[in-house]
Amino acid sequence: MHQIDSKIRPRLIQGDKSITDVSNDICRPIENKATAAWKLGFGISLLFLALLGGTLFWTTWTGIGVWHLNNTVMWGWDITNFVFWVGIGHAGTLISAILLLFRQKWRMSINRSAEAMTIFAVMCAAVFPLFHMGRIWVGMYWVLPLPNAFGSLWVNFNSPLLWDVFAITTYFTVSLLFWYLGMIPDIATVRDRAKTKSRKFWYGFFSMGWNGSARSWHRYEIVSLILAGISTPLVLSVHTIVSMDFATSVVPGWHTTIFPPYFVAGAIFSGFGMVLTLLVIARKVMNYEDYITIGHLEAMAKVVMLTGTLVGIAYLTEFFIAAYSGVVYEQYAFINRATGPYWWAYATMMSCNLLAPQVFWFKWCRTTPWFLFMMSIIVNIGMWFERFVIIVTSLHREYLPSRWAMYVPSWVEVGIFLGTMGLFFTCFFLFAKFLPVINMSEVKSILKSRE
Amino acid sequence: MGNHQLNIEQERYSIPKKTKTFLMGMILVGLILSIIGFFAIPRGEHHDEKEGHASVETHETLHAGMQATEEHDVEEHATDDTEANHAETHDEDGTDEHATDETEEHAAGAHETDEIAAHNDQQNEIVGDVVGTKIDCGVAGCPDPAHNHHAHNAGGAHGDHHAKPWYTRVYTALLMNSYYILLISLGGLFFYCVQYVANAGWATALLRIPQGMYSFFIIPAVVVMLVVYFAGGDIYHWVAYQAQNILPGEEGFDKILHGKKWFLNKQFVFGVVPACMVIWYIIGMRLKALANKEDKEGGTWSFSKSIRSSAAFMVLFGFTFSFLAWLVIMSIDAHWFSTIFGIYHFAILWVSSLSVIMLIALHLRRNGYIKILKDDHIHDLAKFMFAFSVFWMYIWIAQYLLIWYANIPEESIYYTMRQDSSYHFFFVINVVINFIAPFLLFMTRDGKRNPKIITFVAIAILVGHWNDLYLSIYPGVFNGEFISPGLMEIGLFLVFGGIFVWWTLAAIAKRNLIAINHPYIEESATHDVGV
Repeated sequence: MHQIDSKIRPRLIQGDKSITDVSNDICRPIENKATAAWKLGFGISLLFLALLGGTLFWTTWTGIGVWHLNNTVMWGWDITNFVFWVGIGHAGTLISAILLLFRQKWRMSINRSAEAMTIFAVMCAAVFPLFHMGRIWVGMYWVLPLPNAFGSLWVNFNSPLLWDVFAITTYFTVSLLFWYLGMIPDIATVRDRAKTKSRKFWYGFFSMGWNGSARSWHRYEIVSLILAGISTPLVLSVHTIVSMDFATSVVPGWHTTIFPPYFVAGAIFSGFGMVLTLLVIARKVMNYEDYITIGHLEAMAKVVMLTGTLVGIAYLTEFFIAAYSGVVYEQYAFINRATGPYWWAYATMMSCNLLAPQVFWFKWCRTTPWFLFMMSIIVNIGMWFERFVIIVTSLHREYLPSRWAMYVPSWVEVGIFLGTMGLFFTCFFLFAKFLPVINMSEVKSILKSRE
Repeated sequence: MGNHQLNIEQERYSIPKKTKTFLMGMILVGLILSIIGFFAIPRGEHHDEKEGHASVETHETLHAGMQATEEHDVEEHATDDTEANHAETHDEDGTDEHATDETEEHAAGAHETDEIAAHNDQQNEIVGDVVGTKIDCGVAGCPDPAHNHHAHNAGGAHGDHHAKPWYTRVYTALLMNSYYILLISLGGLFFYCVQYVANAGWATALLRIPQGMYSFFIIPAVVVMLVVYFAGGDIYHWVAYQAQNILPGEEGFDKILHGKKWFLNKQFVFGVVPACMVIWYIIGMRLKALANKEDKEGGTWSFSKSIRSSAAFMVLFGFTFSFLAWLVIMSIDAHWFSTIFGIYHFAILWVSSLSVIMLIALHLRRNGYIKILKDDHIHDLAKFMFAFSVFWMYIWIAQYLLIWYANIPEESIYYTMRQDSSYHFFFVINVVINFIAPFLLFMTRDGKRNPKIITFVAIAILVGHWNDLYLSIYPGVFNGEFISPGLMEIGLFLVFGGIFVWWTLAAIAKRNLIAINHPYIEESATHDVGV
């Protein structure tokens, strides 16, 4: 029997769209000339990208000393930003893979852009550990565990940092495949509608001869399901291993068993924050309000509230167990977080991540786009500070007071971070201009979901 | 909806005779086993010999081929015990030395109770002294236990672990089984609320099952609280320690336990835990009333109210469930701590609950009830079981790997007591039953749709997490001394399980079986998982 959707569920796609409308709407940015707003945004992003190039060049040319890391705080903005960007990537996979496994059809309007965001975010993340190596050109053989001509010099397989390299590269590869595979039918649609030669050629090339036969579709669906099955444990493993970069150590404030699930929840939280930031703007500017409806925004707001509260529970649990444990080092680490010289970072983290999302208990807050945009920025800030708190405040008080230190980033570090923003948005603007931002073929399948 | 005409009929369930007989048999067998087990517990007077034999008997079946070592071990143990009983008060160091010597003597035979006791003493010393000498212990190696008088005293209440009264075993068995049923039953409420909060339609046909399950939970909750109350210091070292009222500087003072007084105290245990349970129960009853109202009146009023109550439950549960796990279970190993502990117990709760829901759903379907229940629902439930077996494994690994990797003595003792001890066998099969079995058997689509395989996996998961809780509780209560699960543990499991299932089925039989006015019932009736 055909699956029936309940009457009380709102339609996923508003505005009585026909199948042709979907193709027209979603191919519009690709087929029309770039708008002034796009050019402006793209231009600004390029400026920041140039900043990235400049600061990275300066770092490599002069040496890692241009960052203000010191012997005590040997991880600062670099790793904070790395974890921040990796975390942001998680929402894309969650939406495309986990919601696919859960058969959540509302994912169909947002999964394409969320996955794109994943890929760009992981690219930004990769910048930090790569350039943290200082001499990046010798990095290739440290990173890749190949037998080499340097005797018995092997990478340290016991190190979570190395697991991280595997986890993230695998994750990046699978995400890229998943994203690209999902796009093939839509690229073929653009190819079939193309009126210029170059468009016909390029979209034809990238659609890999898609012909839309039943057999192609069947394989497409099976492969999607398999990739979703692979991505799900992968997305969990990535942030789990990122958390182990810290938790396997014996640094008070880092070594705590709740880290893996708590990092994953935080990653999803921050990722949804970024998806909201992008889509609240994109749906307005690109006129996709019928596709990315208030219902979609509301669902994302609920995920933000859920994961924010989970992260909050983890904060409180950590604090509680530190007090309960009777380990003075743990206790000090947490008291220092809340009341030490970096108390403002801790306060920002707590209020942005635990308290702020509680406004989503009110329907108005979940359904008002400008407010959601504001909240999404707060979430982004909060999650950045979470990583800063975990990394810097745990490190800056060593066991020996003589090694205590403070850490303030240099202009180069700030520049690199802003630069990765440039990289991220440059990629996203290109994506929005040259690729279908919404999964046309899937959206077409749910147009009449309530007939 | 259009022209589809769906005929969903209301149904009433009554417990089939066969099932009643089966459950009655289960409870009776359980009772008999518990009674035999009860009388088989070695009593105080003959403590030494009997305990030795009892542990050997069960032990042998598990570790065939290790007999020789074992028996030798038991003799040693017996003498050691006698010594401990007679000379405990004034010769603690002597006992300790004995234990340590033995460790050296039998370094090869790792499965020795006394060795564990020695390990444990050592650990207590480390923990007891941790505040002052953490770095010494961690980096420079720990001082020899036998010669560290101060540290030994820091062990405090643990010095007398040979003297646990015989009925501790009864309390522990009761605690473990009632706590397990409490988790499963509470999991029903969690399942019910998740469906509302997530706005999910597919499980609507099943909703009365978890509702029946959680109607029971106040009973194991009461049993748990009673056991905690009456067992007190027999199960919880910290209770025994606090009863002694040792002041700083006095003999036997334990800095760590003293420092935990603000949390580990009667007010918290008997204030917070029951309060949480009552609140959960009230929300559960409210949800039941709403469902009844929906059955009578229809409309979506009850539905939207149920969403609110469910959301309220989820939040309260999220913030309070850990208190249950911390105070009732984690505080058994009072020196030890782990931030993930609450989540670990949630994982147990969730996956075992799903298994029970699955078994009851299969039972109803086999007897011709819930006509709208199809393979697709079963398939989806099985996917959940699969996913959350993996989730459990994930949480298990998170705790184990991080503690193993950092290797901080006061944390790793938890696994030393469980892995490098006679509990080793149970430690290994824990992972096999709870993860590997569901993972392999549920990997294929056919596996998730075959009632025989599903029943096997569900029972495996239920037994597996029983074993999981056994590992959480027993080594801690008996200070690492190996207590094999005996007739009483199994018997009480059958008794509690039987009563729980009967109660659940009776609760399901009392009401309409189908949530016929639920706005998502048609979605559920036409549920289709596709590939």
